[in-house]
Amino acid sequence: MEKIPRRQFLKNLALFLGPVFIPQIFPKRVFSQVIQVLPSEKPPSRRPIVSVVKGEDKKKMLAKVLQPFGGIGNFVKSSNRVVIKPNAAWERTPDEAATTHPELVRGMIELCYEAGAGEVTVVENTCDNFKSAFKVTGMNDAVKGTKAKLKALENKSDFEEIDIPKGEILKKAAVAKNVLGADVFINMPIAKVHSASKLTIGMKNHMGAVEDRGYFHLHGLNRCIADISTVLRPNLIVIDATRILLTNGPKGPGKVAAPNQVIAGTDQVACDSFAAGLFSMSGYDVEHIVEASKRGLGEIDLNKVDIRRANL
Amino acid sequence: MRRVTQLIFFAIFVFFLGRFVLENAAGIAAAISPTLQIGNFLRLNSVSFLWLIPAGLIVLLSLWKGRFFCWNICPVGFIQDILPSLSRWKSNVRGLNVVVFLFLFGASLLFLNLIGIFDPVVIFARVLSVFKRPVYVLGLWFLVPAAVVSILNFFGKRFWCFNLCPLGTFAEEAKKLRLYLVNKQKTEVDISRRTAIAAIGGGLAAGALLSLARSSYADERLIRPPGAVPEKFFKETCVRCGNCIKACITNGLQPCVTESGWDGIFTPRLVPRIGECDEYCNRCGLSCPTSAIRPLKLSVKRNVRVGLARVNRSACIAWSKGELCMVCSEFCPYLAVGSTENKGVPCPVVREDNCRGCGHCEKHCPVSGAAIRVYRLDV
Repeated sequence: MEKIPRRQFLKNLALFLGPVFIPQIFPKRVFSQVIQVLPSEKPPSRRPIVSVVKGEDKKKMLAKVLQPFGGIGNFVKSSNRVVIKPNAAWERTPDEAATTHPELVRGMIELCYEAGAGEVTVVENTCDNFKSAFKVTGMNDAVKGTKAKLKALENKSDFEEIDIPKGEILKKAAVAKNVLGADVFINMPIAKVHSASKLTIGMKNHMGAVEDRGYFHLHGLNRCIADISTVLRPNLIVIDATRILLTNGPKGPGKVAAPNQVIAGTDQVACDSFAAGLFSMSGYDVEHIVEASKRGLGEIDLNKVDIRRANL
Repeated sequence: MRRVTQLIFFAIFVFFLGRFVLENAAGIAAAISPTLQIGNFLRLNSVSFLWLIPAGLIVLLSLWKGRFFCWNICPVGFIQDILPSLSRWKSNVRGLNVVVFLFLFGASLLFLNLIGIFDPVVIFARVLSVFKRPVYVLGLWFLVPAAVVSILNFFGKRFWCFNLCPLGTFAEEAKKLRLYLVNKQKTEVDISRRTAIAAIGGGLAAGALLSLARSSYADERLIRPPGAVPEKFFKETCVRCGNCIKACITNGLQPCVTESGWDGIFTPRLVPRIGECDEYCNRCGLSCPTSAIRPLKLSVKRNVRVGLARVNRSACIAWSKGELCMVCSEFCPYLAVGSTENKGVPCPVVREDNCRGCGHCEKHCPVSGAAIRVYRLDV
């Protein structure tokens, strides 16, 4: 047997034993990318939650409807800038069910400030004249006595043009600066029928944060709504279904029903799809909801949605 | 001391004529002038009794103190006082003001409300309507009367007040009349009886001639504000103060240029493409000092028909291109735009019984130039 020099022996020894010992010297730094540490608790449900509360007292309903999400505190952190986008587009009284109920908006403003929000702004690009619209819908009263500001998006300077990378038709749009600069964006639509888009719930409400609505109508309304929803992603959606408009939407006056519900969620497609049920429709019947689900914005199939119901 | 009073009243006029704090404060402020009310009376248009109270107070003030209004209250007088002038003081042509007043009086009997048109408070109201945003080039024409007054003032201090102003003449002559009738005081007579008759006669003749040349033209898109008196009387009674144009919250009321003939220049018309007639607003009627636009309650105003909408099917994207639109129906406050199915797409149809001609549909139509437009009622 040929003799190995001592130096060669030590080299070989290092080559063979190295891989065994090196991991023990630098256990995490080198291999942590490979090793996946599984949490000990159960993984959270992948199904989006839609929470529904039926009742009379609007402020209590709001608090209750947010419980499955861990309350408003899970969305609004201390000194956050919150933007609430109600539907206050029309000169219609709250009873006519064309606009979000001012008490709900007020309740939300109060909840946000209780959670420590820095500033709360209620924004709307009204369809009718904003002075009249804010008076008649009761939005002026909703912010009165709170620190929240009510802002009508009426000037060119209120909007900023942004790119919509995932947009199919809408490649660019001028969107409200307040919404773009917000830490928390809360969409508070009312559920009602619509003469062109069939229903107007959450995603259709985004048109009130956009400058040029005419473009949507000229170039395919439903697909444009889905396009704008790829960039306007509310952190929280609270749908006012305390009363809903069944005919002559979106402005009315028409037949009003009172389901007395408030619906909340974080998945815009799931929320709209669920709220379509109020009109004996499903999300599949409404083209812009289908388009949005095609763009991967959320879950349209209610069988895959975790629906939490509660009564007050 | 006089400056202080003038400044206070100037601020009051600016406040009420410019800001619309109270519902019909602007109308009452402009109607404060008794000569404007004389013009209203000549054009046979009634103003509510309440509105005559401030004018009545001015009449009493004039009977007692003469030109007190001119020196202490009148905003146009104040403007002239603070603007520079070549001459130190009055440069009046003796008796000219009475002649002008009588001439305007005569002409107002047969033609437009000229006494009101040349009223100083109305001239000042026009100045304020320029500050309305957004400013239109056309609105600058409202500055012209005040500019002329200022230029005349430059050559002779308060030239307008002493030689032309109907209100100033009224105030001065009222006091003289009181002195003559009550105090039996002999006063100087500025003009002879013959000149007075000639002035009225000249006014009547001019009014007759001008009314022969009156235009009956009305554009098919001439839409008067809600509550406006019939077209023929509208041009006669409107003093073009610009109050309604300034009061309009949507900015839809704009001054006419040629749409209602040459004698209807600067009268208000609704341009729906700029702004619709708001459902919850009746400020134009409330701010009108002559009741050319009658003050209507909101519940009544909502149901007043000012025009009629019509769809141009070859321009409408629903009818011609099969696009999903129906914005007109969406915006209509009165359910006056119905829909019918055409090639599987809902298309707008005007329900004429419901249409008030408010112009929400035209304002928001996404087609350039609007495919649904509001027309005058009788075309």
